[in-house]
Amino acid sequence: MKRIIIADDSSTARMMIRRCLEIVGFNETIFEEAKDGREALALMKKNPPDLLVSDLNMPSMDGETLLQWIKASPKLVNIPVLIISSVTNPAKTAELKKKGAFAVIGKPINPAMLNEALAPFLPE
Amino acid sequence: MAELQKMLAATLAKVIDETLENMAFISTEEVDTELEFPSTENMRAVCLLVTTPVVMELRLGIAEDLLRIIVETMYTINAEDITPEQIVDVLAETLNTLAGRLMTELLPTDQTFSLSLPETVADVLNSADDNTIFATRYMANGLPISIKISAAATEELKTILKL
Repeated sequence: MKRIIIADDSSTARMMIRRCLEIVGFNETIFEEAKDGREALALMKKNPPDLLVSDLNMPSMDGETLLQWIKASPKLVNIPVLIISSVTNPAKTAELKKKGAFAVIGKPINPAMLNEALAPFLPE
Repeated sequence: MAELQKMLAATLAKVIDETLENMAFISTEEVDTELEFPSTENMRAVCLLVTTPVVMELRLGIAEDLLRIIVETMYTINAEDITPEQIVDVLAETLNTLAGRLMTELLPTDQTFSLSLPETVADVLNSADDNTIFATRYMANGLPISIKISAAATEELKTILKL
């Protein structure tokens, strides 16, 4: 069974992301939630997930810092990171992809956006 | 200033409608600011800062009854099961999404921007001051929404927006 960590300080955003992931095919999945980057990193170190979906703007540790920690860790470097944030114009998207995010989606999200971004990772 | 306000009016109308439609299938309609606005007594407010490339404050007020409808739709729960935390979180997430969409639409594609975390505030409209560059009102499901934008450096903002 796949494991996905969703990191966002908004419980509403986490719920929406989870629901959209279930709609696109991740229904047989274990979801874990973190309300900031620090919590997400702790969860990842304890048990590396198959995918991290993270917001950018979070207290304690933001998504960009989290991404940098992940890419600097030999244990976590290969975990795909999808960024979902309200701060995603083309310049920011390019910057985040350069730092290691495989895709960047702007809020508000919908299942079609996730389906497109996650095509290589969708369950068979 | 008129050109900036025209740009903000058109962009805000588009992004607020898209945001609420996407989040909770709710359509918004801009109302004449000259008309009397419903009492702000039962409205909840939140604000956030755009910290780069220019400092701005966005303040969003939404009627609590409308927030309840949004929470009910998004969480697919009954009205009696809504918690105060869900109302505050939905309000903050709405402004966060709205602010991001607004800046993405306004700024040139090669210009990055940063937002602060949303903060709940007591005053919905925080009466207009010298820094207010735009204030408007919308109705959704017959309930009011207000938005106010302030900027620390209007001329700098106009330069970035190529106005």
